Amino acid sequence: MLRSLLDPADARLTITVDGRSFDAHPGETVAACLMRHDLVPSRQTPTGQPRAPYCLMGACFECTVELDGRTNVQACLTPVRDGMVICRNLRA
Amino acid sequence: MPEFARVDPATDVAIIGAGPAGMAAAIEARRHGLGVTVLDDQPAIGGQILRGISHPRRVHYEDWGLPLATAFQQCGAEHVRGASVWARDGETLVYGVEGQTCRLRARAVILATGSMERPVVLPGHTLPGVVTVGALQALLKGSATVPSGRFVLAGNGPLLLLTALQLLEAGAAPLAIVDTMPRRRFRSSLRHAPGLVGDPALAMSGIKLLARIRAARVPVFRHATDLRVLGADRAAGLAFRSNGREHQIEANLVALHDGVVPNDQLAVSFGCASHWNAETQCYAMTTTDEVRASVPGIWLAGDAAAISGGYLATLTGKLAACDVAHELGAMTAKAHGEAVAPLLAERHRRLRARRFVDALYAPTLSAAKADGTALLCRCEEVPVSRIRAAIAQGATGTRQVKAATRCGMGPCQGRQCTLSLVSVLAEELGAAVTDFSRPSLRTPGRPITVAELAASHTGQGHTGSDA
Ligand SMILES: Cc1cc2nc3c(=O)[nH]c(=O)nc-3n(C[C@H](O)[C@@H](O)[C@H](O)COP(=O)(O)OP(=O)(O)OC[C@H]3O[C@@H](n4cnc5c(N)ncnc54)[C@H](O)[C@@H]3O)c2cc1C
Ligand code: FES
Repeated sequence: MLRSLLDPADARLTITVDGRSFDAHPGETVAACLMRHDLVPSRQTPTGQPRAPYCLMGACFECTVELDGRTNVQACLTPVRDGMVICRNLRA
Repeated sequence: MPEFARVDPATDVAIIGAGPAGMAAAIEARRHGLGVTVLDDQPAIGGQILRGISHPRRVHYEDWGLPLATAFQQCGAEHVRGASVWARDGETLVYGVEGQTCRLRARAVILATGSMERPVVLPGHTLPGVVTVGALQALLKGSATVPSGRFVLAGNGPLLLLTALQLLEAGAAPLAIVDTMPRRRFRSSLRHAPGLVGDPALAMSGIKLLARIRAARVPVFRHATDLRVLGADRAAGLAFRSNGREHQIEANLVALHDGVVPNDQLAVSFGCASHWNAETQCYAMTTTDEVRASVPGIWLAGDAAAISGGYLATLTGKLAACDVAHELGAMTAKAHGEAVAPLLAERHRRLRARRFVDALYAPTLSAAKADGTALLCRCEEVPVSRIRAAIAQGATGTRQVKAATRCGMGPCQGRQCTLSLVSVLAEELGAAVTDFSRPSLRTPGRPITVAELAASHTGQGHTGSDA
Protein backbone atom coordinates (compact mmCIF):
# COMPACT_ATOMS: atom_id res chain seq x y z
CA MET A 1 0.00 0.00 0.00
CA LEU A 2 3.04 2.29 0.40
CA ARG A 3 6.31 2.80 -1.44
CA SER A 4 9.46 4.60 -0.42
CA LEU A 5 10.73 7.64 -2.29
CA LEU A 6 14.27 6.71 -1.33
CA ASP A 7 16.74 4.70 -3.37
CA PRO A 8 16.07 0.96 -2.72
CA ALA A 9 19.85 0.51 -2.43
CA ASP A 10 19.72 2.64 0.74
CA ALA A 11 17.35 0.23 2.49
CA ARG A 12 20.34 -1.30 4.18
CA LEU A 13 18.80 -2.16 7.54
CA THR A 14 17.04 -5.43 8.30
CA ILE A 15 14.19 -6.01 10.71
CA THR A 16 12.50 -9.28 11.58
CA VAL A 17 8.72 -9.49 11.63
CA ASP A 18 7.10 -12.72 12.83
CA GLY A 19 10.32 -14.56 12.03
CA ARG A 20 10.78 -13.21 8.47
CA SER A 21 13.34 -10.58 7.41
CA PHE A 22 12.47 -7.30 5.71
CA ASP A 23 14.57 -4.39 4.47
CA ALA A 24 14.25 -1.01 6.15
CA HIS A 25 15.38 2.54 5.40
CA PRO A 26 17.32 4.44 8.07
CA GLY A 27 14.96 7.13 9.41
CA GLU A 28 11.65 5.48 8.60
CA THR A 29 9.32 4.48 11.41
CA VAL A 30 8.45 0.89 12.18
CA ALA A 31 4.83 1.60 11.18
CA ALA A 32 5.89 2.99 7.79
CA CYS A 33 8.11 -0.03 7.24
CA LEU A 34 5.33 -2.50 8.16
CA MET A 35 2.88 -0.78 5.81
CA ARG A 36 5.46 -0.57 3.01
CA HIS A 37 5.86 -4.35 3.19
CA ASP A 38 2.09 -4.77 3.41
CA LEU A 39 2.40 -6.28 6.87
CA VAL A 40 -1.16 -5.45 7.86
CA PRO A 41 -3.07 -6.11 10.00
CA SER A 42 -0.42 -5.22 12.54
CA ARG A 43 -2.55 -6.34 15.47
CA GLN A 44 -5.96 -7.75 16.37
CA THR A 45 -8.50 -6.48 18.89
CA PRO A 46 -9.58 -8.72 21.77
CA THR A 47 -12.54 -9.82 19.62
CA GLY A 48 -10.23 -10.67 16.72
CA GLN A 49 -10.83 -7.67 14.46
CA PRO A 50 -7.88 -6.74 12.23
CA ARG A 51 -6.27 -3.34 12.83
CA ALA A 52 -3.36 -1.41 11.34
CA PRO A 53 -1.59 1.92 11.90
CA TYR A 54 -4.17 4.70 11.51
CA CYS A 55 -3.00 8.16 12.65
CA LEU A 56 0.80 7.71 12.34
CA MET A 57 1.35 10.41 14.95
CA GLY A 58 0.88 8.71 18.30
CA ALA A 59 -2.77 9.47 19.05
CA CYS A 60 -4.78 6.31 18.28
CA PHE A 61 -2.75 3.35 19.63
CA GLU A 62 -3.81 1.19 16.67
CA CYS A 63 -0.18 0.53 15.70
CA THR A 64 0.97 -1.23 18.85
CA VAL A 65 3.25 -4.25 18.38
CA GLU A 66 5.62 -6.35 20.43
CA LEU A 67 9.08 -4.95 19.78
CA ASP A 68 12.32 -6.44 21.08
CA GLY A 69 10.35 -8.11 23.85
CA ARG A 70 8.47 -4.98 24.96
CA THR A 71 4.69 -5.15 24.52
CA ASN A 72 2.34 -2.38 23.31
CA VAL A 73 5.03 -0.31 21.62
CA GLN A 74 3.65 2.37 19.30
CA ALA A 75 5.20 1.51 15.93
CA CYS A 76 4.48 4.96 14.50
CA LEU A 77 6.67 6.68 17.11
CA THR A 78 9.57 4.25 16.82
CA PRO A 79 12.28 4.61 14.18
CA VAL A 80 13.60 1.32 12.74
CA ARG A 81 16.91 0.02 13.99
CA ASP A 82 18.99 -2.72 12.43
CA GLY A 83 18.12 -6.12 13.88
CA MET A 84 14.84 -5.12 15.50
CA VAL A 85 12.54 -8.05 16.23
CA ILE A 86 8.82 -7.42 15.88
CA CYS A 87 5.92 -9.69 16.70
CA ARG A 88 2.38 -9.00 15.54
CA ASN A 89 0.87 -11.75 17.69
CA LEU A 90 -1.86 -12.48 15.14
CA ARG A 91 -4.18 -15.37 15.87
CA ALA A 92 -5.27 -17.44 12.91
CA MET B 1 12.00 -6.33 39.10
CA PRO B 2 10.92 -2.98 37.72
CA GLU B 3 13.63 -0.95 36.08
CA PHE B 4 14.37 2.02 38.32
CA ALA B 5 13.53 5.47 37.15
CA ARG B 6 16.29 7.49 35.61
CA VAL B 7 16.42 10.84 37.34
CA ASP B 8 17.44 13.73 35.11
CA PRO B 9 19.24 16.80 36.49
CA ALA B 10 16.66 19.44 37.48
CA THR B 11 15.99 22.25 35.03
CA ASP B 12 14.29 25.64 35.07
CA VAL B 13 11.77 25.00 32.33
CA ALA B 14 10.47 21.73 30.93
CA ILE B 15 8.75 22.07 27.57
CA ILE B 16 6.60 19.23 26.29
CA GLY B 17 6.45 19.18 22.50
CA ALA B 18 9.08 20.15 19.92
CA GLY B 19 6.72 21.67 17.36
CA PRO B 20 6.71 25.39 16.48
CA ALA B 21 5.31 26.37 19.90
CA GLY B 22 7.77 24.31 21.90
CA MET B 23 10.79 25.32 19.81
CA ALA B 24 9.91 29.03 19.93
CA ALA B 25 9.39 28.81 23.70
CA ALA B 26 12.75 27.08 24.14
CA ILE B 27 14.62 29.71 22.11
CA GLU B 28 12.99 32.55 24.06
CA ALA B 29 13.58 30.95 27.47
CA ARG B 30 17.25 30.38 26.60
CA ARG B 31 17.55 34.07 25.62
CA HIS B 32 16.74 34.88 29.23
CA GLY B 33 19.37 32.48 30.46
CA LEU B 34 17.03 29.77 31.70
CA GLY B 35 17.89 26.07 31.60
CA VAL B 36 15.52 24.29 29.22
CA THR B 37 14.70 20.64 28.57
CA VAL B 38 12.34 19.78 25.71
CA LEU B 39 10.61 16.40 25.87
CA ASP B 40 8.95 15.17 22.67
CA ASP B 41 7.58 11.75 21.76
CA GLN B 42 8.45 11.90 18.05
CA PRO B 43 11.70 10.59 16.54
CA ALA B 44 12.73 14.12 15.45
CA ILE B 45 11.95 17.80 16.02
CA GLY B 46 9.27 19.73 14.15
CA GLY B 47 5.91 18.67 15.56
CA GLN B 48 3.23 18.29 12.90
CA ILE B 49 3.74 21.19 10.51
CA LEU B 50 7.55 20.96 10.52
CA ARG B 51 7.80 17.16 10.72
CA GLY B 52 11.01 15.99 9.04
CA ILE B 53 12.53 19.48 8.82
CA SER B 54 15.90 18.32 10.14
CA HIS B 55 16.25 16.05 7.05
CA PRO B 56 13.88 17.64 4.52
CA ARG B 57 12.90 15.40 1.61
CA ARG B 58 10.82 16.65 -1.27
CA VAL B 59 8.51 18.73 0.90
CA HIS B 60 8.23 22.47 0.95
CA TYR B 61 8.02 24.02 4.43
CA GLU B 62 6.77 27.43 5.54
CA ASP B 63 9.41 30.17 5.18
CA TRP B 64 9.77 30.57 8.95
CA GLY B 65 10.25 26.83 9.47
CA LEU B 66 13.92 26.26 8.77
CA PRO B 67 15.18 29.42 10.58
CA LEU B 68 13.13 28.37 13.63
CA ALA B 69 14.44 24.79 13.60
CA THR B 70 18.02 25.97 13.16
CA ALA B 71 17.75 28.52 15.97
CA PHE B 72 16.28 25.81 18.18
CA GLN B 73 19.12 23.41 17.50
CA GLN B 74 21.63 26.14 18.37
CA CYS B 75 19.89 27.62 21.43
CA GLY B 76 21.39 25.28 23.99
CA ALA B 77 18.16 23.60 25.07
CA GLU B 78 18.33 19.91 25.91
CA HIS B 79 16.08 17.92 23.53
CA VAL B 80 15.00 14.39 24.48
CA ARG B 81 13.47 12.57 21.49
CA GLY B 82 11.08 9.66 21.81
CA ALA B 83 10.11 10.93 25.27
CA SER B 84 6.45 10.35 26.04
CA VAL B 85 5.33 12.35 29.06
CA TRP B 86 2.56 10.74 31.05
CA ALA B 87 2.41 12.16 34.55
CA ARG B 88 3.28 15.10 36.80
CA ASP B 89 4.16 14.43 40.39
CA GLY B 90 4.54 17.75 42.21
CA GLU B 91 7.30 19.59 40.31
CA THR B 92 8.44 16.37 38.64
CA LEU B 93 7.46 15.15 35.21
CA VAL B 94 7.38 11.42 34.59
CA TYR B 95 8.08 10.21 31.07
CA GLY B 96 9.09 7.08 29.20
CA VAL B 97 11.85 6.55 26.65
CA GLU B 98 12.04 3.11 25.05
CA GLY B 99 10.35 1.51 28.02
CA GLN B 100 12.56 3.23 30.58
CA THR B 101 10.86 5.51 33.08
CA CYS B 102 12.51 8.87 33.65
CA ARG B 103 11.85 11.75 36.03
CA LEU B 104 12.60 15.41 35.42
CA ARG B 105 12.18 18.19 37.99
CA ALA B 106 11.37 21.60 36.57
CA ARG B 107 10.37 24.93 38.10
CA ALA B 108 7.95 25.63 35.25
CA VAL B 109 6.23 23.47 32.63
CA ILE B 110 5.19 24.67 29.18
CA LEU B 111 2.76 22.26 27.53
CA ALA B 112 3.09 22.52 23.75
CA THR B 113 1.54 19.19 22.80
CA GLY B 114 -0.06 20.55 19.62
CA SER B 115 -3.01 19.12 17.81
CA MET B 116 -4.41 15.87 16.48
CA GLU B 117 -6.99 15.13 13.84
CA ARG B 118 -10.62 15.28 14.86
CA PRO B 119 -11.97 11.74 15.21
CA VAL B 120 -14.01 10.52 12.25
CA VAL B 121 -16.73 7.90 12.67
CA LEU B 122 -18.21 6.03 9.72
CA PRO B 123 -18.80 2.37 8.81
CA GLY B 124 -15.57 0.52 8.07
CA HIS B 125 -13.20 3.22 9.34
CA THR B 126 -11.25 0.79 11.54
CA LEU B 127 -10.23 -1.54 8.67
CA PRO B 128 -6.55 -1.90 7.76
CA GLY B 129 -6.01 0.32 4.73
CA VAL B 130 -7.92 3.21 6.29
CA VAL B 131 -5.69 5.97 7.63
CA THR B 132 -6.07 9.64 8.38
CA VAL B 133 -5.00 12.23 5.83
CA GLY B 134 -2.52 13.54 8.39
CA ALA B 135 -1.09 10.03 8.52
CA LEU B 136 -0.29 10.19 4.80
CA GLN B 137 1.39 13.53 5.36
CA ALA B 138 3.37 12.16 8.31
CA LEU B 139 4.46 9.15 6.23
CA LEU B 140 5.66 11.48 3.48
CA LYS B 141 7.44 14.04 5.68
CA GLY B 142 8.73 11.68 8.34
CA SER B 143 9.43 8.42 6.50
CA ALA B 144 9.58 9.47 2.82
CA THR B 145 6.85 6.97 1.93
CA VAL B 146 3.81 7.59 -0.26
CA PRO B 147 0.78 5.52 -1.31
CA SER B 148 1.73 2.98 -3.97
CA GLY B 149 -1.67 1.91 -5.24
CA ARG B 150 -5.14 3.27 -5.73
CA PHE B 151 -5.99 5.76 -2.98
CA VAL B 152 -8.63 8.38 -2.20
CA LEU B 153 -8.75 11.32 0.20
CA ALA B 154 -12.11 12.00 1.83
CA GLY B 155 -13.38 14.66 4.19
CA ASN B 156 -12.93 18.32 4.83
CA GLY B 157 -10.27 20.78 5.93
CA PRO B 158 -7.18 22.68 4.80
CA LEU B 159 -4.88 19.81 5.78
CA LEU B 160 -6.65 17.55 3.28
CA LEU B 161 -5.99 19.97 0.40
CA LEU B 162 -2.43 20.64 1.50
CA THR B 163 -1.66 16.93 1.77
CA ALA B 164 -3.22 16.26 -1.63
CA LEU B 165 -0.90 18.84 -3.12
CA GLN B 166 2.19 17.56 -1.29
CA LEU B 167 1.46 14.01 -2.46
CA LEU B 168 0.96 15.18 -6.04
CA GLU B 169 4.28 16.99 -5.89
CA ALA B 170 5.91 13.81 -4.58
CA GLY B 171 4.52 11.85 -7.53
CA ALA B 172 1.56 10.14 -5.84
CA ALA B 173 -1.76 11.25 -7.35
CA PRO B 174 -5.01 10.45 -5.52
CA LEU B 175 -7.77 8.88 -7.63
CA ALA B 176 -10.17 11.46 -6.27
CA ILE B 177 -10.94 13.88 -3.48
CA VAL B 178 -14.29 13.15 -1.86
CA ASP B 179 -15.17 16.54 -0.41
CA THR B 180 -17.68 16.47 2.46
CA MET B 181 -18.14 20.21 2.83
CA PRO B 182 -21.92 20.67 2.91
CA ARG B 183 -23.74 22.78 0.32
CA ARG B 184 -24.11 26.42 1.39
CA ARG B 185 -21.33 26.13 3.98
CA PHE B 186 -19.18 28.59 2.07
CA ARG B 187 -21.94 31.15 1.85
CA SER B 188 -22.86 30.85 5.52
CA SER B 189 -19.19 31.30 6.52
CA LEU B 190 -18.87 34.55 4.60
CA ARG B 191 -20.15 36.62 7.53
CA HIS B 192 -16.74 35.95 9.14
CA ALA B 193 -14.81 36.86 5.98
CA PRO B 194 -14.06 40.47 7.05
CA GLY B 195 -11.81 39.02 9.75
CA LEU B 196 -9.50 37.71 7.05
CA VAL B 197 -7.95 41.19 6.79
CA GLY B 198 -6.30 40.30 10.10
CA ASP B 199 -4.17 37.69 8.32
CA PRO B 200 -4.06 38.31 4.55
CA ALA B 201 -1.27 35.74 4.15
CA LEU B 202 -3.56 33.01 5.51
CA ALA B 203 -6.30 33.94 3.05
CA MET B 204 -3.85 34.06 0.15
CA SER B 205 -2.34 30.68 0.94
CA GLY B 206 -5.84 29.17 0.94
CA ILE B 207 -6.71 30.66 -2.43
CA LYS B 208 -3.39 29.50 -3.93
CA LEU B 209 -3.89 26.01 -2.57
CA LEU B 210 -7.34 25.66 -4.14
CA ALA B 211 -6.04 26.95 -7.47
CA ARG B 212 -3.17 24.47 -7.51
CA ILE B 213 -5.43 21.52 -6.71
CA ARG B 214 -7.73 22.59 -9.53
CA ALA B 215 -4.79 22.87 -11.92
CA ALA B 216 -3.72 19.32 -11.06
CA ARG B 217 -7.11 18.07 -12.32
CA VAL B 218 -7.74 15.60 -9.52
CA PRO B 219 -11.42 14.59 -9.76
CA VAL B 220 -13.37 16.15 -6.88
CA PHE B 221 -16.77 14.83 -5.72
CA ARG B 222 -18.50 17.66 -3.88
CA HIS B 223 -20.95 17.75 -0.96
CA ALA B 224 -20.41 14.04 -0.37
CA THR B 225 -22.50 12.30 2.31
CA ASP B 226 -23.15 8.73 3.55
CA LEU B 227 -19.50 7.69 3.36
CA ARG B 228 -18.66 4.08 4.11
CA VAL B 229 -15.48 2.10 3.64
CA LEU B 230 -15.93 -1.08 1.60
CA GLY B 231 -14.13 -4.34 2.36
CA ALA B 232 -14.28 -7.21 4.85
CA ASP B 233 -10.76 -7.69 6.26
CA ARG B 234 -9.18 -4.60 4.74
CA ALA B 235 -10.23 -1.54 2.80
CA ALA B 236 -11.38 -2.25 -0.75
CA GLY B 237 -12.85 1.15 -1.56
CA LEU B 238 -15.12 4.00 -0.56
CA ALA B 239 -18.86 4.37 -1.19
CA PHE B 240 -20.67 7.70 -0.85
CA ARG B 241 -23.43 9.94 -2.26
CA SER B 242 -22.62 13.10 -4.17
CA ASN B 243 -24.98 15.34 -6.14
CA GLY B 244 -27.86 12.91 -5.79
CA ARG B 245 -25.96 9.86 -7.03
CA GLU B 246 -24.37 6.81 -5.42
CA HIS B 247 -20.66 6.38 -6.11
CA GLN B 248 -18.12 3.67 -5.38
CA ILE B 249 -14.40 4.06 -5.82
CA GLU B 250 -12.17 1.03 -5.62
CA ALA B 251 -9.03 1.72 -3.58
CA ASN B 252 -6.67 -0.12 -1.26
CA LEU B 253 -5.97 2.99 0.80
CA VAL B 254 -8.65 5.37 2.05
CA ALA B 255 -7.57 8.50 3.93
CA LEU B 256 -10.10 10.37 6.08
CA HIS B 257 -9.98 13.84 7.60
CA ASP B 258 -12.31 16.24 9.40
CA GLY B 259 -10.10 19.02 10.71
CA VAL B 260 -7.80 19.24 13.72
CA VAL B 261 -8.46 19.70 17.44
CA PRO B 262 -6.20 20.35 20.43
CA ASN B 263 -4.14 17.39 21.66
CA ASP B 264 -4.94 18.33 25.23
CA GLN B 265 -5.04 14.95 26.95
CA LEU B 266 -1.92 15.61 28.99
CA ALA B 267 -3.06 19.09 30.06
CA VAL B 268 -6.38 17.64 31.21
CA SER B 269 -4.67 14.83 33.10
CA PHE B 270 -2.51 17.47 34.84
CA GLY B 271 -5.74 19.01 36.10
CA CYS B 272 -5.79 22.06 33.81
CA ALA B 273 -9.28 23.48 33.21
CA SER B 274 -10.86 23.56 29.76
CA HIS B 275 -14.21 24.68 28.38
CA TRP B 276 -16.50 23.68 25.52
CA ASN B 277 -16.29 25.94 22.48
CA ALA B 278 -19.53 25.65 20.50
CA GLU B 279 -18.05 27.50 17.52
CA THR B 280 -15.16 25.08 16.96
CA GLN B 281 -17.08 22.13 18.40
CA CYS B 282 -14.23 21.03 20.59
CA TYR B 283 -12.73 21.92 23.96
CA ALA B 284 -10.30 24.77 24.46
CA MET B 285 -7.95 25.01 27.42
CA THR B 286 -8.71 27.84 29.80
CA THR B 287 -5.74 30.23 29.94
CA THR B 288 -4.90 33.85 30.68
CA ASP B 289 -3.73 36.11 27.83
CA GLU B 290 -0.18 35.28 28.93
CA VAL B 291 -1.11 31.62 28.35
CA ARG B 292 -0.97 30.52 31.98
CA ALA B 293 -3.08 27.42 32.63
CA SER B 294 -5.43 27.14 35.60
CA VAL B 295 -2.83 25.05 37.47
CA PRO B 296 0.07 27.05 38.96
CA GLY B 297 3.41 26.36 37.28
CA ILE B 298 1.89 25.29 33.95
CA TRP B 299 1.70 27.31 30.74
CA LEU B 300 -0.04 26.23 27.51
CA ALA B 301 1.38 27.23 24.12
CA GLY B 302 0.38 26.57 20.52
CA ASP B 303 -2.45 24.41 19.21
CA ALA B 304 -2.61 22.40 22.44
CA ALA B 305 -4.68 25.20 23.96
CA ALA B 306 -6.80 26.09 20.92
CA ILE B 307 -6.21 25.58 17.20
CA SER B 308 -4.65 28.65 15.66
CA GLY B 309 -1.96 27.30 13.33
CA GLY B 310 1.80 26.93 13.20
CA TYR B 311 2.80 30.60 13.00
CA LEU B 312 0.59 31.64 15.90
CA ALA B 313 2.02 28.69 17.82
CA THR B 314 5.42 30.39 17.65
CA LEU B 315 3.87 33.57 19.11
CA THR B 316 2.19 31.81 22.01
CA GLY B 317 5.39 29.81 22.59
CA LYS B 318 7.26 33.11 22.99
CA LEU B 319 4.52 34.53 25.20
CA ALA B 320 4.73 31.51 27.48
CA ALA B 321 8.52 31.69 27.74
CA CYS B 322 8.45 35.44 28.53
CA ASP B 323 5.89 34.88 31.26
CA VAL B 324 7.90 32.01 32.71
CA ALA B 325 11.08 34.15 32.61
CA HIS B 326 9.26 36.92 34.46
CA GLU B 327 7.85 34.50 37.02
CA LEU B 328 11.27 32.93 37.64
CA GLY B 329 12.91 36.34 38.04
CA ALA B 330 14.90 36.22 34.79
CA MET B 331 13.03 39.16 33.26
CA THR B 332 11.98 42.48 34.83
CA ALA B 333 8.34 43.52 34.82
CA LYS B 334 9.19 46.36 32.43
CA ALA B 335 11.05 44.15 29.96
CA HIS B 336 8.25 41.61 30.18
CA GLY B 337 5.60 44.22 29.43
CA GLU B 338 7.56 45.53 26.45
CA ALA B 339 8.15 42.08 25.01
CA VAL B 340 4.61 40.83 25.48
CA ALA B 341 2.58 43.81 24.14
CA PRO B 342 3.46 43.41 20.44
CA LEU B 343 3.01 39.62 20.66
CA LEU B 344 -0.47 40.02 22.10
CA ALA B 345 -1.42 42.60 19.48
CA GLU B 346 -0.28 40.42 16.58
CA ARG B 347 -1.99 37.41 18.03
CA HIS B 348 -5.27 39.28 18.47
CA ARG B 349 -5.16 40.55 14.87
CA ARG B 350 -4.42 37.15 13.32
CA LEU B 351 -6.94 35.27 15.46
CA ARG B 352 -9.76 37.26 13.82
CA ALA B 353 -9.01 35.46 10.56
CA ARG B 354 -9.41 32.03 12.20
CA ARG B 355 -13.16 32.48 12.62
CA PHE B 356 -13.76 32.21 8.88
CA VAL B 357 -11.57 29.10 8.66
CA ASP B 358 -13.29 27.54 11.69
CA ALA B 359 -16.77 28.19 10.27
CA LEU B 360 -15.85 26.96 6.79
CA TYR B 361 -14.30 23.74 8.04
CA ALA B 362 -16.68 22.86 10.87
CA PRO B 363 -16.94 19.07 11.33
CA THR B 364 -18.70 16.94 8.71
CA LEU B 365 -17.88 13.34 9.62
CA SER B 366 -18.63 13.30 13.33
CA ALA B 367 -20.46 10.46 15.01
CA ALA B 368 -23.61 12.59 15.48
CA LYS B 369 -25.23 11.45 12.25
CA ALA B 370 -23.22 8.25 11.74
CA ASP B 371 -24.77 4.89 10.98
CA GLY B 372 -25.43 2.95 14.20
CA THR B 373 -23.06 0.14 13.21
CA ALA B 374 -20.00 2.43 12.96
CA LEU B 375 -17.54 2.01 15.83
CA LEU B 376 -17.37 5.14 17.96
CA CYS B 377 -14.77 3.79 20.37
CA ARG B 378 -12.01 2.01 18.44
CA CYS B 379 -10.32 0.57 21.49
CA GLU B 380 -13.30 -0.97 23.26
CA GLU B 381 -15.18 -1.58 19.99
CA VAL B 382 -18.33 0.31 21.00
CA PRO B 383 -20.72 1.07 18.11
CA VAL B 384 -22.66 4.33 17.84
CA SER B 385 -25.92 2.42 18.42
CA ARG B 386 -24.83 1.40 21.92
CA ILE B 387 -24.02 5.02 22.76
CA ARG B 388 -27.45 6.11 21.52
CA ALA B 389 -29.04 3.39 23.66
CA ALA B 390 -27.20 4.63 26.76
CA ILE B 391 -28.44 8.15 26.07
CA ALA B 392 -32.00 6.88 25.57
CA GLN B 393 -31.67 5.27 29.00
CA GLY B 394 -30.90 8.62 30.58
CA ALA B 395 -27.20 9.42 30.17
CA THR B 396 -26.66 13.16 29.64
CA GLY B 397 -22.88 13.40 29.86
CA THR B 398 -19.68 11.63 28.84
CA ARG B 399 -19.04 10.18 32.29
CA GLN B 400 -22.37 8.34 32.39
CA VAL B 401 -21.99 7.01 28.84
CA LYS B 402 -18.46 5.87 29.66
CA ALA B 403 -19.65 4.00 32.75
CA ALA B 404 -22.48 2.36 30.80
CA THR B 405 -20.52 1.35 27.68
CA ARG B 406 -16.76 1.26 28.49
CA CYS B 407 -16.35 3.87 25.74
CA GLY B 408 -13.04 5.68 26.29
CA MET B 409 -11.58 3.11 28.65
CA GLY B 410 -9.10 1.53 26.21
CA PRO B 411 -5.45 2.34 25.46
CA CYS B 412 -6.09 5.71 23.77
CA GLN B 413 -7.89 6.81 26.95
CA GLY B 414 -10.58 8.71 25.14
CA ARG B 415 -8.35 10.69 22.76
CA GLN B 416 -10.20 9.15 19.81
CA CYS B 417 -13.75 9.09 21.17
CA THR B 418 -14.48 11.90 23.62
CA LEU B 419 -15.40 14.43 20.93
CA SER B 420 -17.42 11.78 19.07
CA LEU B 421 -19.28 11.03 22.26
CA VAL B 422 -20.04 14.70 22.87
CA SER B 423 -21.29 15.10 19.29
CA VAL B 424 -23.76 12.23 19.72
CA LEU B 425 -24.94 13.58 23.08
CA ALA B 426 -25.50 17.05 21.62
CA GLU B 427 -27.32 15.61 18.60
CA GLU B 428 -29.61 13.39 20.66
CA LEU B 429 -30.32 15.74 23.55
CA GLY B 430 -29.65 19.22 22.19
CA ALA B 431 -26.87 21.48 23.42
CA ALA B 432 -29.03 22.88 26.23
CA VAL B 433 -29.43 19.47 27.92
CA THR B 434 -26.01 18.00 27.18
CA ASP B 435 -23.53 17.93 30.03
CA PHE B 436 -20.29 18.99 28.34
CA SER B 437 -18.03 18.23 31.29
CA ARG B 438 -15.19 15.96 30.25
CA PRO B 439 -14.69 12.41 31.39
CA SER B 440 -12.40 12.48 34.42
CA LEU B 441 -8.87 11.63 33.40
CA ARG B 442 -6.43 10.24 35.85
CA THR B 443 -2.77 10.11 35.12
CA PRO B 444 -1.08 8.19 33.56
CA GLY B 445 -1.92 9.99 30.33
CA ARG B 446 -1.03 6.90 28.32
CA PRO B 447 -1.17 3.15 28.94
CA ILE B 448 1.87 1.98 30.85
CA THR B 449 3.08 -1.30 32.20
CA VAL B 450 3.05 -2.17 35.88
CA ALA B 451 6.85 -2.10 35.84
CA GLU B 452 6.85 1.45 34.50
CA LEU B 453 4.34 2.52 37.12
CA ALA B 454 6.36 0.94 39.89
CA ALA B 455 9.50 2.63 38.62
CA SER B 456 7.83 6.04 38.57
CA HIS B 457 7.50 6.01 42.36
CA THR B 458 10.58 7.02 44.22
CA GLY B 459 9.16 6.44 47.63
CA GLN B 460 7.44 9.70 48.44
CA GLY B 461 4.30 11.30 47.05
CA HIS B 462 2.07 9.77 44.47
CA THR B 463 1.92 9.70 40.71
CA GLY B 464 -0.17 12.34 39.08
CA SER B 465 -2.80 14.80 40.16
CA ASP B 466 -6.23 14.17 41.53
CA ALA B 467 -7.48 17.56 40.41
C1 LIG C 1 -1.32 15.23 11.51
C2 LIG C 1 -1.27 16.74 11.43
C3 LIG C 1 -0.59 17.37 10.39
C4 LIG C 1 -0.54 18.76 10.32
N1 LIG C 1 0.12 19.33 9.28
C5 LIG C 1 0.07 20.68 9.12
C6 LIG C 1 0.67 21.32 7.99
O1 LIG C 1 1.28 20.66 7.14
N2 LIG C 1 0.56 22.66 7.87
C7 LIG C 1 -0.10 23.40 8.80
O2 LIG C 1 -0.20 24.63 8.65
N3 LIG C 1 -0.65 22.84 9.89
C8 LIG C 1 -0.60 21.50 10.07
N4 LIG C 1 -1.19 20.92 11.16
C9 LIG C 1 -1.79 21.77 12.20
C10 LIG C 1 -0.81 21.89 13.38
O3 LIG C 1 -1.59 21.91 14.55
C11 LIG C 1 0.07 23.12 13.23
O4 LIG C 1 -0.71 24.27 13.44
C12 LIG C 1 1.30 23.17 14.14
O5 LIG C 1 2.05 22.01 13.95
C13 LIG C 1 0.99 23.40 15.60
O6 LIG C 1 2.19 23.60 16.29
P1 LIG C 1 2.38 23.23 17.83
O7 LIG C 1 3.78 23.56 18.17
O8 LIG C 1 1.30 23.83 18.62
O9 LIG C 1 2.17 21.64 17.93
P2 LIG C 1 2.71 20.40 17.09
O10 LIG C 1 3.40 20.83 15.87
O11 LIG C 1 1.56 19.48 16.97
O12 LIG C 1 3.81 19.76 18.07
C14 LIG C 1 3.46 19.12 19.27
C15 LIG C 1 4.49 18.06 19.59
O13 LIG C 1 4.26 17.56 20.91
C16 LIG C 1 4.35 16.16 20.88
N5 LIG C 1 3.60 15.59 22.02
C17 LIG C 1 2.25 15.56 22.19
N6 LIG C 1 1.95 14.95 23.35
C18 LIG C 1 3.12 14.59 23.94
C19 LIG C 1 3.46 13.92 25.16
N7 LIG C 1 2.51 13.50 26.02
N8 LIG C 1 4.77 13.70 25.42
C20 LIG C 1 5.73 14.12 24.57
N9 LIG C 1 5.47 14.76 23.40
C21 LIG C 1 4.18 14.99 23.10
C22 LIG C 1 3.77 15.81 19.53
O14 LIG C 1 4.09 14.50 19.13
C23 LIG C 1 4.42 16.87 18.66
O15 LIG C 1 5.70 16.49 18.23
C24 LIG C 1 -1.21 19.53 11.29
C25 LIG C 1 -1.89 18.91 12.34
C26 LIG C 1 -1.93 17.52 12.42
C27 LIG C 1 -2.66 16.86 13.54
S1 FES D 1 -0.84 4.86 14.30
FE1 FES D 1 -1.99 5.98 15.75
S2 FES D 1 -0.72 5.80 17.50
FE2 FES D 1 0.49 4.88 15.99
